[in-house]
Amino acid sequence: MTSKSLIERATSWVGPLWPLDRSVANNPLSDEISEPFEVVLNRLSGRMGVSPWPTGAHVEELRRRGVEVGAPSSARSASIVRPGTMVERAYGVGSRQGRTVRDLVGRVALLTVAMPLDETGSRRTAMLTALSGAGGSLSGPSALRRDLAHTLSSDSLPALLNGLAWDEEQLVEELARHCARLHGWAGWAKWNDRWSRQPHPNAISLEDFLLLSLGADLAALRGSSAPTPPESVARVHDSGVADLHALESALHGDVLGRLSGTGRVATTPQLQVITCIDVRSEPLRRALEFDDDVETFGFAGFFGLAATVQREGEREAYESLPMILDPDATITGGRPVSSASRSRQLLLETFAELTHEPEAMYALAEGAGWLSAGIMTAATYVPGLRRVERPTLDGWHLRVPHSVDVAEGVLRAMGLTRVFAPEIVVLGHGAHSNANTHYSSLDCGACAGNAGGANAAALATLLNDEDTRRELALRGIVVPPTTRFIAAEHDTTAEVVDLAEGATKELRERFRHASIVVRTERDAQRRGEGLATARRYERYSRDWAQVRPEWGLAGHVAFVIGPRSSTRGLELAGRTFLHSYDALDDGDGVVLGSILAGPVVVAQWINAAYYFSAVAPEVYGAGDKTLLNPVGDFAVLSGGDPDLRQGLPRQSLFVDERPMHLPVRLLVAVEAPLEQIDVAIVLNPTVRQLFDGGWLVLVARTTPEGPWMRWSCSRWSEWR
Amino acid sequence: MYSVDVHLLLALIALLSGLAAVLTSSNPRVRTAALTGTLLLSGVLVDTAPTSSVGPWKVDALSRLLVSVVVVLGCAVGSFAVRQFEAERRARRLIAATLLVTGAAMATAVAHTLVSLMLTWVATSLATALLISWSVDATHAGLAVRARVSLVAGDTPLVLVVAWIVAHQGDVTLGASSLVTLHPREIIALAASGSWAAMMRAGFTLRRSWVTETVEAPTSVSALLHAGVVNAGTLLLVRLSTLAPAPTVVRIMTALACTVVMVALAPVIIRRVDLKGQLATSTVSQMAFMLLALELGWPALAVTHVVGHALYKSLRFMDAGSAIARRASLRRLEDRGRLLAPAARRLGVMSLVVVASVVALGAPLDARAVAGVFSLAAVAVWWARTRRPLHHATWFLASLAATLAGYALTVALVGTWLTGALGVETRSAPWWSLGAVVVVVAITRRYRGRVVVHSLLVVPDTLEVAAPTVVAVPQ
Repeated sequence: MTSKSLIERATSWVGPLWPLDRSVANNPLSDEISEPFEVVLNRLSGRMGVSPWPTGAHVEELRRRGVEVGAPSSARSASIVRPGTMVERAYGVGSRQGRTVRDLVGRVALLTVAMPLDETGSRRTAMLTALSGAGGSLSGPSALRRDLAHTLSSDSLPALLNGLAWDEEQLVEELARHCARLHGWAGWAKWNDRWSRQPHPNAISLEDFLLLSLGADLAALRGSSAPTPPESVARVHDSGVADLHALESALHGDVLGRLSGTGRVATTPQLQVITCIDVRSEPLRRALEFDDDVETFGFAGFFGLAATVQREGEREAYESLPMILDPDATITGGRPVSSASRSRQLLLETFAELTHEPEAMYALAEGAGWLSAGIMTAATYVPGLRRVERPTLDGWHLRVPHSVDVAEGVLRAMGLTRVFAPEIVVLGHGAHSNANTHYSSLDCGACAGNAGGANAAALATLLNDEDTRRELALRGIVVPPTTRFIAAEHDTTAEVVDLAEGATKELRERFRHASIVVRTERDAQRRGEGLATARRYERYSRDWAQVRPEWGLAGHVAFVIGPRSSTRGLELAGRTFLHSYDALDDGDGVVLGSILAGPVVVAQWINAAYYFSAVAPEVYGAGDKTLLNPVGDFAVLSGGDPDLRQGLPRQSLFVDERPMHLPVRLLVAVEAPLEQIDVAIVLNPTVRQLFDGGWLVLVARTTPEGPWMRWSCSRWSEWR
Repeated sequence: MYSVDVHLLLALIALLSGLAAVLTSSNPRVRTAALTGTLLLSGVLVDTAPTSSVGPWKVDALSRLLVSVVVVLGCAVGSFAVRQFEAERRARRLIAATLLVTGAAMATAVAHTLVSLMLTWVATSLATALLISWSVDATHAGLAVRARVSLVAGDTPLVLVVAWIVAHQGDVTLGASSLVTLHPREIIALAASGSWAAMMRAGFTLRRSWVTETVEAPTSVSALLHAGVVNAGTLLLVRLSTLAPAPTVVRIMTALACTVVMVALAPVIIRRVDLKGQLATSTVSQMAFMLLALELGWPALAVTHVVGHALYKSLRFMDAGSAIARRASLRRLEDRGRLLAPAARRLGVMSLVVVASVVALGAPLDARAVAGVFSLAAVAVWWARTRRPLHHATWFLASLAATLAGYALTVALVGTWLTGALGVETRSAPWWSLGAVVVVVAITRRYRGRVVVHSLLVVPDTLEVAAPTVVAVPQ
């Protein structure tokens, strides 16, 4: 077996760590979905030494919210210890030697990724340079560093593995344990190996990381004892699963109960709004629909444009599409970043340059320091002074070979083919926060952690184009000449909507009123007791001391696929993804299949990211936000610990000890004939694995009045 | 025996009532208002107190400057902390400890006898230890222990020496007019224990110390400690030196320690890639520079450093969370060079105006000397960098010149303002100290350059590399 396949097997359970400037909420176990959820989690529990299940605190929180739920399970497995690597087996997981080696590996990795890549893409030269420099920034005995440097310069990973003379299972187990020891670094290496489309300047490969980690252990053991092979990790059977089921039964039941109301029917619409399926769109849609002549649609916020966005005046494009797709289009245009903002950035960069110079670094503090008094006083007391750059929603163009195909596909998928209002708003969303390392986790998940304005604007431009409309008419979609598509972006932090330049005053007023309704609702609901409910939401986006600018997707429970008429007017409390779908227009189930394979999978990633950050914050969460310590522009440490941190910060999910997100598996509720759903599932093996393995909970009903049926092991039975 | 000026008494009452308000209220607005109100009030009270000593306290120009800075810091960092810990149980203790540290630092600034200075100094250490213990959880308890050990180790000799002197002579009033004559051995002991306490407080180390480990503490705690606590050694030494000039042997020993720390930490700073770690390590190096300036006889420079570094460092800590967004957006900008040139021209003109003003104002020797050294160094850097495109070099040189000019002006103003409070008449800079600083900086640069030449600096144009790799902004 090659070292490559050994690495692949050893790291299948490692969650990739996306760079923080484009963070993507992801299922850390997405390579393990071929096995059932509970099996994988029990194995994870033994592997990482955490209990990946909800706790009594979550059950208690649900009860506090007035939902009936069973008592939390009392019997929990005793604290589990992460199985150690070879040096930790020799000395103990928490031993001084064990910690020294872990610290050394993490710190060498930190130094290594800061250096330019080798021509070959390997990091060995960089690792050796890191080890050879003055020892000031590295801890541990110098003999260990010398031995490690010797190992790195003479051996490769396959050679080290061969030298151990263990069987394959033992090697896989050992490598997996090294990943568990520095899970963040393993995740970063995995992202670089598997998900990065362009080499990241701070990349490290799994092979290099494991070479470093294994080499450090061997160096630490040199001269003392021969490494002992690891035993395979036992599964931990944790009664926490009972708490998960209790939470799910209560929360899922609550949502399904709310869905049983009858929706209101829209009259002839004067305004149609296409929003992202994101849970934060739901309250806004509800508020807009207080007017009977408004109709809203939910669609994945990249609006079917799998594009890279090249903004005017920038040398680097960003990807604005779900990570499970490959880009096949380009969006260009926008307004360049204002020159004032550029000058500011450049001033900072010069500052950075100067602070490397011993002659200047001491003078800088005095020369510039005095000005800081005014800056920090203003930033703390008058955050409103900070300017927030508003999104550009004009001048974006889509470049794609067959643009009419794209337009047709998008409209059909949305079910927007017959009735067109005079004004149709395409509404992306993005967040604005200050001094927030995890800012991109609040942006649009379907746009790879970017704001969706550019996609919305490019789609509006495409659908306003006369040639496109003529072609569309030939294909049976007649967009009336009086209809205009208008791009907009929902600022989910401040709860305001920016509209493109052509929007009428009346339209702006509609959105302004809807925003007020949403803010009022959020005041009442989303903030926990004891928190200041906000009157000035903008302050949340500008305040550098604010650790909870918004709650993002915390609190989400369900993903509803069906016509809006079934859910219109229902109070869903911002907890549901809503995807528009009309089974009548989709006889062959192709559209449903694409919804399940696309948006549902993305939502499952989001769900899993929140789930793991909530149940095992010490491993899958970024920890206390006030301790976060940025590394370059791609990751954070927690305080001085050298492991990179994955997932969401504690403050995004908890208020003090009180959990604000209840970790349950996403409930997917579909309104369509069961046979149609069967076809869609059978055609998509990944989706089938997710449903059959219990990674998602699927329920369906044929009509709004019908009973909810639950999918379990490829069979339908009545919900409860 | 201890009579107190009415202003100081009122300031103390204001602080205590602020503390009570913070402890009893859980409403963030009330907390912010109480904190800001009491700090501002007590700051104004101290600053408007008459310049005469009452009991063990006296308010002079240096006290006013430092109290004002502590008030600005306390307000900004305290209000920041109120919001960061909103709705969390630890908020109450953390904010109370922040007020305690701030109050103790203010008291140190107005202490006017040996006993009051020592007591307020130790009180600041205790408040700091408390703040750290209350801010970190069990997993980071190592920091709290390390801080306690360092502070106790640093303060104990000072306490013993002061106790010895007081036992023999009674409490001694600070200042050149002091009537007490100390024995030479007492002078040496006092100066040495003062320097030792200052160095321990500043976290002097060749590797890790309690100061570099403060990355384990929440942002607001780091912001306060790096700004208002670690640099208090300057005040201590300036005050002690008014009693009797520090003996040359102590000054040389301290200066040597500072030099070693500056040189040793230069490569460590640039090699740390975590932002808070860089900031924390550079604090230690900055403190070494500050004490070096003091020991070489440039108190105006050291005080300027205390203030400037305090404000700058706390800003950088509180803003640390922006680093990812800022670096990412910088990375995306195209053709940065083209954008640099106009800004460089503007800055160049500005710096000329500033330099002219400094000369016109008749800067004291301190400022002119420093400006001279640093300008020479700037030219050297420019020569070393001529390989890069001209607009980069222009921009670089212009901003360096502007900063240095601002620096010289600030030092000049501080020096003028504090005349009389610094004991300048007893601590003029020896002629060789100018050369000493040049040598230290040159060694630091060479040493730093030699160590990292394989890695970071091998790239010909660091401007291009600064954004995409993690080479980032230490100060």
